[in-house]
Amino acid sequence: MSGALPQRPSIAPNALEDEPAGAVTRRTVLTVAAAATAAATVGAALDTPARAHSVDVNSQEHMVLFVLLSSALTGIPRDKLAPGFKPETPKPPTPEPPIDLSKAIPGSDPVNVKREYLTWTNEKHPSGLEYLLRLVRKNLNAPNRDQAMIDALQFDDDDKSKTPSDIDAKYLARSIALMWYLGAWYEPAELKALRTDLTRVPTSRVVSPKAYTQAWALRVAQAHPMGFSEMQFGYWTRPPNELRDFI
Amino acid sequence: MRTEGSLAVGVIGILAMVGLLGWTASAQAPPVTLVCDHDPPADTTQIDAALLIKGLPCAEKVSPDGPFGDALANLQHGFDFYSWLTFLALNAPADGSPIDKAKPNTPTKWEQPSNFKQLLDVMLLDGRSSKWEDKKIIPPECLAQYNKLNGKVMVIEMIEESFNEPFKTGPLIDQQGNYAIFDILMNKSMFDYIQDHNLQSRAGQQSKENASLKVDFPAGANRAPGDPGAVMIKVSWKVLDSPAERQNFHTVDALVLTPRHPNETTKPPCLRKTLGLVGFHVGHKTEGRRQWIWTSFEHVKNVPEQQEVDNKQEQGPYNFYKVGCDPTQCPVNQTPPTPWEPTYKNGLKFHDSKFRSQITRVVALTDETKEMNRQFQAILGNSVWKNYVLLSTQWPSDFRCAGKKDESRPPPPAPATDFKKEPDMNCAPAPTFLANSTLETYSQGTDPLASSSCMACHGNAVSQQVRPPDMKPEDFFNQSDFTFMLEKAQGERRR
Repeated sequence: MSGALPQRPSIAPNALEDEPAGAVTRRTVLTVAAAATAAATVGAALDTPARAHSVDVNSQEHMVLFVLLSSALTGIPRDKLAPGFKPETPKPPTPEPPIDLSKAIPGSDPVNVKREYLTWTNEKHPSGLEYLLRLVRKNLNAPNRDQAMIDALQFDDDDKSKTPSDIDAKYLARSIALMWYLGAWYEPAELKALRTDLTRVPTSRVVSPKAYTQAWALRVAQAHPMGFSEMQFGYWTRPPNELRDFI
Repeated sequence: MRTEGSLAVGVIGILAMVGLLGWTASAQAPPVTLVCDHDPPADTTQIDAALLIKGLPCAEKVSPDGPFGDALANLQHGFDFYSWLTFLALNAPADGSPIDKAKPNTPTKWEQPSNFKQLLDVMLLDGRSSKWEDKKIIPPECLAQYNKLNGKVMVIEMIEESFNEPFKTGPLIDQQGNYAIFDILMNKSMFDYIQDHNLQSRAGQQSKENASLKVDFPAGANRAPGDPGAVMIKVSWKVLDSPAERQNFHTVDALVLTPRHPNETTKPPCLRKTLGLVGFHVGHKTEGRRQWIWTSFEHVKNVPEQQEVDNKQEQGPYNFYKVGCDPTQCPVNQTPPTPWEPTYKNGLKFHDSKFRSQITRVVALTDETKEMNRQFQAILGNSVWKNYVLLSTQWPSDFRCAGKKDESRPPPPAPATDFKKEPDMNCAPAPTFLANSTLETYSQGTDPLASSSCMACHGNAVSQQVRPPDMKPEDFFNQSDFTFMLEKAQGERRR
């Protein structure tokens, strides 16, 4: 890097991040979250994978797929889950053009909790994660990508058309949604057991100190986790800012 | 990076640039201008000697696009490049000679009272106002020596913040048994804002006129004529008793007044010492980065990285680490035994004559930062400045958040920073954590809210403002714009 490099344009302070894709209200966020974590009806069977492969947490494409999946499951805009997320460069017009996985940028935030979540999920349930990312890839440029994925994951476990892999993926999706909202991991099997035993209290584990600070549940409630706040000193004397500032 | 932390530098008043020379008030050298460069070079510029004279950037110039990796990596590179330019500009010889030819004791621009003022020269004992041109008030215990030296000496009046690390986590003791000494300074832009709003006085801060003030220091911008806005510096010094080691540091001839003890019947000693620069923080507020940009440098021989220790790759000797000392005898990153305050009897020597701090760097420098350090060190000739390394630069990575203005009515005065951003008023600092081994020694690491983060810490700084009984709590806004300096205002407390 000793030689002179090409000049590059400097940027305005607000130019790095896109505006959120659409207006989000607390109701829509919670509705989508409830849909993702409650589930119940039938969806179309997934294609069989063309080839067996594991998810690579260092793959930009796989991270893009994971962010898209997470946004669908949580109802939170992808550039909020992954600040700096861009479907492609340059900034897309409206309506959004097709996502090109080879060009999409999965975010540029220094916290990068999404990497912890992708790694965590891949280590615990590699085949289930692969299933889910394949689902995203299949619906990548569907007219309503998020709803298509939710529909595919909403079915009754007794549906004879569903395979064990379908059912496992459904509960893994719930675990991922809960991880984003609570910063904690609930084993899919524990969530599945709730179906037959509603008195059961599922065990959970906080994914990491970083995950605790980044959990979305309290942010949706215009609050912050206990013991961790980056709000202005004295914020407690004022009503919280508008919801759009949080999500 | 707590306490006044960390950063800074300077220069210039409202219109621009300027700064005279000479550390001492009575310096005879002609004034030299410390120029604020409103068109700083892009970070893709070749790193060669031409950069040594570019001057202080009025603000950052960065881009997410470039050859250094992803967007985050490109931006980090841009801010690190800005930090090196800042370091070179502030430490350039005050007489205008080239920095690569500087001698160890060549006075720097930031050491000139025309460019930067020490905190205690602003927060005067009785809270009275002062002018930028006012001469330094020399403590009576040091006055005779000061006059004998014709004022050509730095004077450091120690307070707790001069020896105790942020959050009162303890002092740092070097391998010769001396305290590391800390000092805090501000530029004229900060000074003027403080004086204009009567914030140098505790009573002034607590006045009814200031109850509704949202402290909002000027911000630098890359436009003519070149106003850097608010810049603050925090430095750390090592006492250099040995003439031999003075060749490896930037040094100053100093009179150090040890902290006053109210229960002592005698006066604190004022000790003439040669001090070597071991840590250098700069905080710079710019229009696009209203959470300030936080730059941290230190001497290359301060401490080894922990991973170097683990791999037995230390390259000592170090200023704050003894190679080969058994961990049971020299536990790493531990605070010294109490009491921590310097005593009149021992001067700047720690009371436990056998104790030495055994410090390692917990978070290693990135390969990219090491490479940039190598390139800048290569253009610094044989000057002592090649012995300093950039640790990193912390900057607010959410640019939309960082540039947000207060839109309340009537519009607040410029720069009208919005301090009510939620949920993260720090706008996603990058990197999340940053610690200098001499200035945040005991808060290194990566634990949320516990490990050192310049913005996360300074974002909690407040003033001594008071809410009047007839003001609604939600209308009262007590913050001090990322500086702890205002806490040091003195004078009569409101009753």
